[in-house]
Amino acid sequence: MSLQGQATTAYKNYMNKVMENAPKVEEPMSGGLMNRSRPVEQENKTDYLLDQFTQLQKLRAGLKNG
Amino acid sequence: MANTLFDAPVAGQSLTAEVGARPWQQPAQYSTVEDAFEYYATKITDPKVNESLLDALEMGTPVSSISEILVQSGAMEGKHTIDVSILLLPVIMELIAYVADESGVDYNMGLTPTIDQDKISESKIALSVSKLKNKMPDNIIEETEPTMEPEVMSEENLEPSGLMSRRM
Repeated sequence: MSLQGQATTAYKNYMNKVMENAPKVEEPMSGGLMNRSRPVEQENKTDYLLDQFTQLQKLRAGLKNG
Repeated sequence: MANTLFDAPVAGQSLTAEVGARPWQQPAQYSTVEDAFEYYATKITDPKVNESLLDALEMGTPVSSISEILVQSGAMEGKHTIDVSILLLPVIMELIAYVADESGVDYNMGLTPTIDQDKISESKIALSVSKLKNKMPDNIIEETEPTMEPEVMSEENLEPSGLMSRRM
């Protein structure tokens, strides 16, 4: 059982994923005061590890920028 | 390369212990990536524990190697499965880098392979030697061999050549 070089490959994959993800654009939930349709929350499928990865990257960038 | 090829267990070695005797043959302690990451995050960010980790980073050990060792030992202890360990790898690398940044330690992520320009591999040397041998025909090699012939010194040459020497 050995993980020779798996970390490098996995890290590069995650970096590619993070770079490919487009920033979220928030859309208005309701269509006016008289709109009767209920706002339905969009299903946000989030990857827990990818979220943690991006959060840590942001923290690191914050540290480097002072 | 030959060393890594044979750096493996003997065939059937896994059958020498009873099934379930090893920790990794038991159900994993942390079955989800969230739980497993919590386990590592508390360990890595704990200042009492991460001193040795920072020492290793300062000595030049790449972050990728350290994280591989960490998750591999976790899988061997039965904390989580090997699949979870591979999933956790990039996040743990990032976490270690963050801890190192926070404590001001220089580190190497280990993403770019370092090539030593001064070191010439044995295969390259062997290749160039074989090329040289193919280029040189056999008779040239024989001709180049030095032939030692005894030089006959004539009596005329035996005159002393120093400034203060007398002529005979």
